[in-house]
Amino acid sequence: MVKRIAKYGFKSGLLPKSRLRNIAKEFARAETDKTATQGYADPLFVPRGSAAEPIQKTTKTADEIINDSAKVSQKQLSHISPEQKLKSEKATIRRTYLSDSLRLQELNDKEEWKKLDEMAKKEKVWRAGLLKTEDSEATKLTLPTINSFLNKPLVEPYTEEQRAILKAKRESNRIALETKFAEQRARQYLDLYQRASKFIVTEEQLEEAIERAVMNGTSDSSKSTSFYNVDILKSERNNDQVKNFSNAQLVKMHGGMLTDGLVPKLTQELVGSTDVGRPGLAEIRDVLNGNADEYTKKVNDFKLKKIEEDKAAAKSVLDDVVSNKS
Amino acid sequence: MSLVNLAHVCSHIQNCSRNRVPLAAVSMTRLHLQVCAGLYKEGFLSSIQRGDANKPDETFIPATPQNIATRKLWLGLKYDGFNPVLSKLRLISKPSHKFVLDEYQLRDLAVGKEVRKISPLAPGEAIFVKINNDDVVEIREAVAKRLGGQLLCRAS
Repeated sequence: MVKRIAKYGFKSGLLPKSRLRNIAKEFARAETDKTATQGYADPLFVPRGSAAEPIQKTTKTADEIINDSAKVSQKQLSHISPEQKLKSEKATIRRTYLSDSLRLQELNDKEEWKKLDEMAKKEKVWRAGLLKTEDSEATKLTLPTINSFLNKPLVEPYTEEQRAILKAKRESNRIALETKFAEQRARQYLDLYQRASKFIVTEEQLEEAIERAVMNGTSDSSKSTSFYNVDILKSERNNDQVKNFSNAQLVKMHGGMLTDGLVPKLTQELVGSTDVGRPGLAEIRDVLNGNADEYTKKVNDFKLKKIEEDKAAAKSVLDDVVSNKS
Repeated sequence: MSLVNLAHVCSHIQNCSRNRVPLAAVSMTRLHLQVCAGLYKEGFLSSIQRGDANKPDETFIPATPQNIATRKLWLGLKYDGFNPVLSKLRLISKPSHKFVLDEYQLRDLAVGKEVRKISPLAPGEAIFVKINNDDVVEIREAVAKRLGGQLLCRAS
């Protein structure tokens, strides 16, 4: 920290700012004191050593300060030396200057206070304007409050109608799921039943299976084609066109479609049959329902009708030819 | 009432406040609404709004069983200049250690005495208490009503 005129860049003649009253601060304090005294402070909760009501700060007026600090001496001297007279005159001048400056300061402070008061009043009006909304009185009075939410259930309960719809939805979901599992189980049972026909249970069947495996040319179960594929190969072999084809040629002809899993899946998707190529659940259901018979009957009727139509068309053509000849 | 969820809410609000976030969203439950209303009354929050997970509602939307999972309370956090008004929000009762005090213990805590190793109420601090009828009140209100209850959280 530098001293003296070094503080002011070695410039003489500049004086530091005098310690004046901060009117804005005093005004703000007075404003807060107005509101601080409102309401009720429970003495139980007032901390020890502090006051519930704010302690008012007293400010001296200019006259009081002058009276305290620049009083005129009451001492009456009978004889005054010229030095004393000069000193007294200087003191009077200083006293006058001080009192003038204090009075002027007081006037300035009063003006500033007045300005601040006006500004505060304007701000109050502006803040009141902010609170004014375009909502009607009815809207304001019926707005839900936090307490209104806390005094009733937070979530609106279901109505009777909604409850009934939900119940129906749950019931339908349950039934759909049960049906799905029942159908899955039925499909598995059917698959097992159909596969069971190929199970080796007698000695003859075992020998036949061994012979078939040997004919296929491999003993490795993981690499061999399934018995289903072997059946296809055998059926293909019976066909006149491919009678002389080797196994390898037949597999090549099918373009790799004879791989395990792919054919059963395709047949299942297209025909509705099971993995073993037998009638699937849908077909059995149709037979049991009688839909299959009905379908067969319709197809037969359609065929008969078509034949009749063809016959009639042929007859008409013949009649035309005969008439043309004659 | 879940103290675990309340702990999450407390830390979320505190983190948002310390990070100078203007709005914080917490899930809408009765307990959270009660605590947030308490914070609002004590002057720690500037607003409480209902809303969904994305933003506060512009019009009133009721909470139904279908949308309750996405309903949120949007809290306006308060700042004094650049400093957060709410600097600390902590649980007092933990899920594994709950503090249930009677009216005399609450009064002692409110007037500045340590009770069961709980530091007393400091100036500018608020402690929220769950009283018997599942209402959440500030400790001074509970003392005035001569009620005891479970200490939930303290805000300062």
